[in-house]
Amino acid sequence: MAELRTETMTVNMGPQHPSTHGVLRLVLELDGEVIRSANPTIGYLHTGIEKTAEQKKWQQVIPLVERMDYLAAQSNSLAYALCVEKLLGLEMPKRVQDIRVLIAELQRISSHLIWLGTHAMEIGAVSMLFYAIRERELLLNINELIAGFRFFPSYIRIGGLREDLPRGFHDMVNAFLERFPGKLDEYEGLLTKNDIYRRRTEGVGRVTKEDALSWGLLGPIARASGWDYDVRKYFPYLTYASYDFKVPTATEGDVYARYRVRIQEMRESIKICKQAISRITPSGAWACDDRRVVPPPKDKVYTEMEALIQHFLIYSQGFTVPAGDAYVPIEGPRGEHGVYVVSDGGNRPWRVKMRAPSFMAIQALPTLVQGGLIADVVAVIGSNDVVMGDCDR
Amino acid sequence: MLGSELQTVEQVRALRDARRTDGTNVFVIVRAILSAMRMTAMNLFRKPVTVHYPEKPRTYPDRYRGLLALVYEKDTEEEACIGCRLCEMVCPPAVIKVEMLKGEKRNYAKTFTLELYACEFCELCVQVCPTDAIVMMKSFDLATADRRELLLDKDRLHAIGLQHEQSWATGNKLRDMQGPPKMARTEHAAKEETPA
Repeated sequence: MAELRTETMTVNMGPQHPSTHGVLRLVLELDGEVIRSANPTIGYLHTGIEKTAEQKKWQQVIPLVERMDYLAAQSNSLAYALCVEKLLGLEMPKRVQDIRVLIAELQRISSHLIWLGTHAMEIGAVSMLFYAIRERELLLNINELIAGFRFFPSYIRIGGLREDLPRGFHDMVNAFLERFPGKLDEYEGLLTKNDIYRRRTEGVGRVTKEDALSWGLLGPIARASGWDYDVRKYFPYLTYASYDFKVPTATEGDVYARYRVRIQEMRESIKICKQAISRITPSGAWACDDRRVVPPPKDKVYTEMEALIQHFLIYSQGFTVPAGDAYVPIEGPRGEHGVYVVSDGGNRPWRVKMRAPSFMAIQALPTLVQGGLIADVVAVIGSNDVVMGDCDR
Repeated sequence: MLGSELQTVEQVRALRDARRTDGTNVFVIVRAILSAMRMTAMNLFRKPVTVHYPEKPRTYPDRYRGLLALVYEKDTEEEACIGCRLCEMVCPPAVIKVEMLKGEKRNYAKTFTLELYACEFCELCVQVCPTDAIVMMKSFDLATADRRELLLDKDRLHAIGLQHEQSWATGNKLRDMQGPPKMARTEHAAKEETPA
């Protein structure tokens, strides 16, 4: 049999390709249908958020970092707030921690829903996107209820929360938790046992256990290749240690395994949410009572001179954070989301560094797609769940 | 990159055949499509979740963050803004510019400009305002083809304040909103008292 022609073809995939999740550009070297090498180019969505954060006061950074990973806005602000609170040495009331757990888990479900919808749509199950977005709408409505904004609520602040929970919050969350497991079964009915979906995903984009570790793919990707590392279990933050949940794992390491792990993660998140909502009382503490950081309640600002002065001081000068540095990892929807903050003792951060899970997922892409078919590239990108805003920041 | 040897036709074919469907698989594929279509058909009989926006307006929650506006005092009908520049200092993207005008009894804002096109809608300005002069509206209807129209001055902001419904309740209303209604509180207390 004759050999194929020896010249290869270079194809630019992206940055405007609809299935590259934003503006990822992949330079593919093709040998017929087979990929010989892939070269991801990042930076098209560079926003300079890390550098901009150095010009802002501590509290002003919160709406900024939420714009990084725009599908999981509140895990960004949670990681940042926890990190600064560690430097300040603040201890949050238990109710605040439970609310934060609930919000983080709802955010994980919401982020996984978008992953599920877009990933399935790229494989060919277009209707999946509409079903996933339909349920995500309920979560966005919860965001809108608690903070008035759907994508970037900025509800988690340094020193607690923006406000107390509004009326109707418990009903809304309970209604969602009631409705969602049934919908999740529907999604699984569409995909899990579907032969077309399985043929497109099984054995594709395989990550071995060792590779997952050496590429730093902590998170759902590592858990799909045999590790059981989850920050919530290994280094519990907030009140996660007191919640009853499992860490779903798989050993195959392919796209299908990642799909199953994320679906199971959503089920575990529902379990956590149900425990959290039963612990949260309708009213109570919504911020710590450290007056260095948390401004006095607004009704006191109207009537008391000291409160008004304190109010002006906190908002015009900002509070100062003791000099030092801290690193706090949390389990974001895409993996370990770490924030490293350095303070020089002033009212602005000296350096804010994010460990973005999407960046790790993209740097591993060439090895995942190499030797595979070009049609599988979209499946692999989708299953890695990359968000370019998170990667480039 | 880990360059690999060029593959022969056989290797490429083998790679493809590994996933190719043989004869019986036509049945499998039809079955897979049918099972997926069943789910789609189920959705055919559900109520639509979409809302035709301009014809049917949504109801916004009380804390909705929309357009920014300035308000007048309820009782005296004076401008509520005292030009303290706190919102200017707290605004993360620095889109607010205020100049103070000293008055005899109280101060006013001489100029108040807000570049809405760069606004992050983080609501910090509303949160910090000591007189609740700057508020957010339950509306986002300010689409325009000209970017310059989004540079809002004091008159424009006051006009917006009269145009739409005010959202996030401020001052006394906010305090009222923070707690749950008394009914819910007693219900919850009753739940806690009775052991499961």
